[in-house]
Amino acid sequence: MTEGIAWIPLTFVILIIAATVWLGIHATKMSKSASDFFVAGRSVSVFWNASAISGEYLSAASFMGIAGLLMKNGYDALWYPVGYATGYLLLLLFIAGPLRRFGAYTVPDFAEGRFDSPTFRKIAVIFVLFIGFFYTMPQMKGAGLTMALILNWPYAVGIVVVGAVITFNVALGGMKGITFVQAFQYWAKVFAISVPVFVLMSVYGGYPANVAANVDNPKATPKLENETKVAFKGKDGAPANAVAFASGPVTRITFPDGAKLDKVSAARKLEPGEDPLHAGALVVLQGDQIVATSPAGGWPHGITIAAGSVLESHPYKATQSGNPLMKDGANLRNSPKIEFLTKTSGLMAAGSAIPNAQSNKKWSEPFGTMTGKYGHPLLYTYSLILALVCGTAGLPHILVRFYTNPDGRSAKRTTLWVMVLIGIFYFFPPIWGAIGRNILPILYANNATDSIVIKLPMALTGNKLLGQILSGITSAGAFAAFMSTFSGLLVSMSGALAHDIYGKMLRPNASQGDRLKAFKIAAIVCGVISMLLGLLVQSFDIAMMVGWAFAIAAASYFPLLLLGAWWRGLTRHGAAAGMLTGGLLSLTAIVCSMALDKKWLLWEVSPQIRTLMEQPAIWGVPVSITVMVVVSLATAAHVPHDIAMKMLRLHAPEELGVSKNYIDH
Amino acid sequence: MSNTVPDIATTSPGLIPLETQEKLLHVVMRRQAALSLQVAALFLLPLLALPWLNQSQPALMNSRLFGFSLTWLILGICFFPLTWLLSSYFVQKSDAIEAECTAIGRTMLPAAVSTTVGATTTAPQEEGME
Repeated sequence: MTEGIAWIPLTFVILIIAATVWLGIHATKMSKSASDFFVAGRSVSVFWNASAISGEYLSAASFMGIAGLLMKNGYDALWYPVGYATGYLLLLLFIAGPLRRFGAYTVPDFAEGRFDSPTFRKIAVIFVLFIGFFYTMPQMKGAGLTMALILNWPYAVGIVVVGAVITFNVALGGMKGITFVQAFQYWAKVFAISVPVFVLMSVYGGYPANVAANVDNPKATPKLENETKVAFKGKDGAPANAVAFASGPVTRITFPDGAKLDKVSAARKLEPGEDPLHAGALVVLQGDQIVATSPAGGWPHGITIAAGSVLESHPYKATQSGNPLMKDGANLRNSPKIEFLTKTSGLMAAGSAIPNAQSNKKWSEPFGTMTGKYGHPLLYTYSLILALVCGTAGLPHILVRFYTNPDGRSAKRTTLWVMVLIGIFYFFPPIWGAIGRNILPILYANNATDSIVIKLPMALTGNKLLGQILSGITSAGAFAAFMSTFSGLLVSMSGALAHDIYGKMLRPNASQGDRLKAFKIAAIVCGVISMLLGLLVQSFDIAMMVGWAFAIAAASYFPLLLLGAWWRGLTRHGAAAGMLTGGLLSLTAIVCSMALDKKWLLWEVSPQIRTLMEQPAIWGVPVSITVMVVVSLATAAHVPHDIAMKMLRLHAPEELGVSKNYIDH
Repeated sequence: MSNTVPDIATTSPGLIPLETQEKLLHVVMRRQAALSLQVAALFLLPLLALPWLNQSQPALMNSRLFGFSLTWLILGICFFPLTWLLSSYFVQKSDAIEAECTAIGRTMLPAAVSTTVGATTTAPQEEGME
C-alpha cells in the first residue's frame, strides 16, 4: 500500500492537468461564435474529430475499470471492451450518417425536428441529463480513487480538483476548445496504457504467456509469495468489505490492531440441502493459542477480535446431512467468508491462498464468476452484449460529436476511424488484467483490482524509479480519461440546458451573447452538481455505475434513433412512450439490483429474475421497441404530414440539396 | 440564428412533388438499408454465435492456439480487426450507393431544388404533444 505522497506520479498528473488547461485556453482563442461553442463550427477534420470522439469515449471505466474487471473476472470481462468497441459498428451502420444529415446539434433537436413536437424535446432533454449525470458519477469516483492512491488525499479532494479544472475549461472554451483537448487526450491515453505494459511484458512475459499460465493450471488459485500488508474496507464499502477465503489451501491474516467483523458465513452459496458452514472453519489465534473457533453456521452477528490476533481459514469438504456432498463426481468444498465492520489493516502470511480470487479455470474459461454468479451465464452474457452494443449507440455525449462533421459522408468516415482508434486502445487493458493476476494478486484480497494500472508498475522491484515513472504515466492516463469523458458529458449537459432549455424554451429570442453566457453558467451549474454526486458514490462500483448509463441509453435513445431514422410510421407518442417505458423500467431494475447487493432490499428473488435485473437490456430493448411500434400504430394519425420530406432529409445525399441544417449559422 | 424547424414540404409545396419525394425516398433508403442489414448480419452472427459455441463446444473453444485458448483469441483479439474490415467495406459501399442515388435523384428533382431548398425558412411551428 502507498504511504505518503507518490511524488513522481503526482508530477505526471500535474503535467497532464496543466497541458489540458493550456490547450483549452489556447484553443479558445479560435472559438468565437455560438456554433463554435456548441459544435466546433463543424470544421474539424475527420482524423482529429475521430481522435476527439475516441478521447471522449475512453473513460475511467475503460482505462482503470476494464483492466481491473479483467483481472477480477478473466475471460467474462473481455465482453466489455469488445462490446464498447463494436457498439460503434451499429452506430455507423444505422445512425451516424442519417443523424448528421438531419442537421441538428443535439438529440433533443432530432427529437423535435423528427416529430414536430416541442414537448418531446423536453423529454429528450431530461434523458440527456439523466444519462449524463449517471455516466458522470463513475468518472468522479475514478478521479477520487486515483488521487487517494497517489496522494493519500481524501476522496473528495480528487473530485473537486478534477471537477473544477474541467468545468473551468468547458466554460472557457466550449466544444472547440474541448475538441483539441479531447484529441490530445486520446493519444495521451493510448501512450499511457500501451508503453508501460510493453515494459511490464519484457519483465513478466507476454500476453499469451500470462493467459497460458492460467489456462495450463486450471485447478490452481493465486498464492501470496511474501507477507503483505492489506487495507480492508469497512461496511460502508459493502460489498467490497467481504473477504471470501479460498476453498483449497489455508489463509492466515494477522491483525496488529485487532478487527471488528460484521459477519462470518460460508464463502460459496450453500447448495440445496448442504449443511451450514462447518464448525471450526475459522479459527482465531493469539500466538499459537487458539482463542476462538467459529461454531457451525459461522458468526452471523460478527465478532470482535483483539489486537495481535491471527485469523486462520480452514476450508473443508462440504456435507449434506453429514454425508459427503457430491457434484459432477467430486466432493464440493467450502470455506468461510468474513465481512469487516470497520476499516482494518492486516498482514497476510506468505504462502496464503489469496481470498476472493477464483480458480484459474474459472478465470480463463467462459462462464466464470461474473456471468455465472446467478447460475444463468448464457442469459447474462447475451444480455450484457446487447446492453453494451446498443448502449454505445445511445450515449448522448457521443452522438453530439457527430454534428461536428461537415456532412453525413464524413460522419461515416469518422465513425470508421473511431473504431480503429478505440480498437487499438482496448487491446491493452486485458493485458494489464492478465499480468496483474499473476504478479499482484494481493489486490483481490481487499477488492482493489480497479487500481491495477496504477499499482502494477509500482510493484516492479528491480527498478523502483522506472516503476514510479511508469505508474506516473498510467496515473496521468487515468486522469486524462476522467477529464476527457467528464468534459464531453459537461458539454452535452450544458448544451442541453443552454441550447434546449434556455434557448428553446425559456428565451427563444435570446441573442448570441446571451446564449454564450447561458452556456457558461450551465457548465458551472452542471459541474458543481456532478462534483456533489461524485461525493455520494464513493462506495459504488465503477463498472456498475457505467452499466446503469449503458442500460438506460440502450433502452431509451437507441430505439428512438434507430426507429426514428428508419421507420416513417414512428409517432411522437410512440417514441416517447417507448423511451420512457424502456428507460425507466431498466433503471428501476438496475437500482433494485444494486439495492439487493447492498442489502438495502431483502427480497427473495429467483436467479433468473436476478440475472435479468442486473442485466436488463435483453428485455428492456425489446420492450422499448415494442411499445414504440404498438403505440405508433395506435396513433398513426399523428405521423407528421411531411414525413416523406423528413425521411429524405435523413437519407438523401447532401448533393441533392434536401438536407438542411436545423439551425442556421 | 433561427429557432424553427424549416418545413420545406409545406412552405414550398411546389418544389418537390409528393410523388417524387416518395420515389426518391424509396431509392435512397432501400439500398442503404439493404447494405446496413447485410453488414450487421455479418457482424452479429459471429458475435452471437460465440457464447453459444462456448456453451456447446467447450473443449474446442478451450483448445490452444498461439498460447491463448481459441475463444480468448477470438474475443480478445480477432473481433477488433473484424469490425475494422466490416466498417471500411461498409463506408466504401455506402459512398458508392450515395453517388448512385445522387445521379438518380438529379434526374427526378427539378433543377431549382438544389439551390433554393437550403434557403427556405418559415414561421415557428408550435405543435404540442396533446
